[in-house]
Amino acid sequence: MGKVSPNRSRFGYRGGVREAVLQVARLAATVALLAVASPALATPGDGSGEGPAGETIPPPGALDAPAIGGPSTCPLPDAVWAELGTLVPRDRLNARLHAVAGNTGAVVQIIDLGVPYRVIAAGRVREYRDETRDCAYRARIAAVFVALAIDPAEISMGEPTPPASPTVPPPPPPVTGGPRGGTRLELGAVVDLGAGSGDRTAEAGAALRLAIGRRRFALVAGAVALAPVDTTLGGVRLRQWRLPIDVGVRAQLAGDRVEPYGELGLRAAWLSERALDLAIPQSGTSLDLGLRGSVGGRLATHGRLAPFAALQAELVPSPPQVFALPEGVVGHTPWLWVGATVGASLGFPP
Amino acid sequence: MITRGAKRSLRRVAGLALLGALGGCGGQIGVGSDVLWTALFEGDTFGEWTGVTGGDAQAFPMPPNAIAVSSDRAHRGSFAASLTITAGPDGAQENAGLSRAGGLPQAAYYSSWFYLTRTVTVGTFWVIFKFRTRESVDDPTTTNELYDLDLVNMPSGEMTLVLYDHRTTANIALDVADPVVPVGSWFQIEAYYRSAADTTGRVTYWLNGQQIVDVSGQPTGSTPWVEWDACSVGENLTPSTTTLYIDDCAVSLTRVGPSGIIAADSVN
Repeated sequence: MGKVSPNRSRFGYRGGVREAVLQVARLAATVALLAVASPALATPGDGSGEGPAGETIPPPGALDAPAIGGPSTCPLPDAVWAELGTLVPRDRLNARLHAVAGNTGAVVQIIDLGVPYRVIAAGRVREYRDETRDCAYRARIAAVFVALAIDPAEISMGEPTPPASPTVPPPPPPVTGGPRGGTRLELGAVVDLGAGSGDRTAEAGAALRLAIGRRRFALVAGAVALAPVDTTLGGVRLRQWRLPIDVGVRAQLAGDRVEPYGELGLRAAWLSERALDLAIPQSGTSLDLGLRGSVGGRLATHGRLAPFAALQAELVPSPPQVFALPEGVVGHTPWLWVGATVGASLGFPP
Repeated sequence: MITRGAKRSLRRVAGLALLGALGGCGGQIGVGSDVLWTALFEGDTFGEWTGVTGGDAQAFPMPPNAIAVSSDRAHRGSFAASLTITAGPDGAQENAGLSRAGGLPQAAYYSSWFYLTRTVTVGTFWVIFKFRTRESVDDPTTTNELYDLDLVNMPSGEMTLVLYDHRTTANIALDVADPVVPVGSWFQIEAYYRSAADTTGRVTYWLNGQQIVDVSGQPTGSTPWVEWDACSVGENLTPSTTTLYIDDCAVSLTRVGPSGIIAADSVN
């Protein structure tokens, strides 16, 4: 009984995948050989070549017309033919090839495309990838496909599973409806624009967010450190410093290129205001509460690090009033903050 | 495992947080003040005047004139100053006043609230708000009268204001003719005064927030030195004994106005 891949250990860390492929191939070969073993063994020494029993296998040219051809150098058509001989008894093989070809020429074409290689057999086409260009291995895989293509009634195990690229790890299985990864730590640069009773306020700083949950919904918490800015409220020049934090829920989707998400939650901000021009200036602080919403997207990468961008809005229904003498209340801090964040998201496996 | 009670507590906390976010905790942030000095009289003393350099509260001659902190009336809080003078037709000037002489900014807003219990017929003059200047800052003998804001009577008998310039010994025409000074209710007089020997000098007055005169582009004081008085200085008044109440005085770098708040704890 022939082996499709006797040298499994050569395939290194992809051995698991290869093994699955080879198991299918071996099973197919076993079925095929069991199906044809008796007639093959019953006609020893027919001069067609060396099969499983050790006989010599003639080259494809021994047929009326070359049954396996093509410009491929890896694998060579001859190598595929030799591997095919280990799967199907030679007389049955010849018979099937004649039946399929009708003496019209090669019914099997092997085309080497570099990393991929294409096998055309009995009108069926299959392309495989092998970045190591292991020609012997390619020949075995092609032979299994050809055997299945030309004699599907006898070998009914289905087509061999195409091997995965040995050098490119497959993407991890996506979580249904959700993005990859379990916990994400996001660090970004943030710009916020505030609309209140005074001047428009633009603030910039750094945002840190943590999202926990790998399914469609995740808990998310964040903190933003914004640099102090100068603004004017009711004619009073102020230095404003804001440090918001928030907690909420993130709804997230998986995507091929971008993993979009939206967030909704509660936010609180520590707010410090200090007059710049008053005769007797003082600093005052307050805590304002509100709602925060955000939409964003993260590039779907295979690595743990992925860039992201988000737009956010914060609504503060009752912003703190700013009070100065003798004017009294000179206005209130912004009731609406809108902004954007760009940065990098680091994923941790669940 | 989260118990049912814990879930209830979590829901309660989340609900309170949401209510807090939607309702907001608002609050106020105090960022300071442009009010340099105040006299609220809520300590039942004149200490706010007498406790600062150049400050004074006095009546002379006394008697018959008198000053006191009174709880009879107050603009805000419980106390106000009452300045009583007896200025008969004898031609004598009677005085009761609260003054800040020196130690004031070259330019500032001066605000005070007044209360007249009745209409008074002014025979000669009745000054309630005045500025003095000094030619040599360190020499009190060089102090000169500058602007007097006087109460006078209109033909209708109502009281109004005039601005008297001691340098020209004449009244300055008001921008608003005959503004009515209320009797029986508090009214605010506020002035912006910039002491300057050049054309940056300026004086502007408001009555209850309405600007009544603005004198600008001309010298005021020859030095930055300023004296401000909230006072009752009269001669030949009828009735001769009159009481003027004064409350909530302030010196500020920004305009106070009728709605201005001069002390954080003075909001009623």
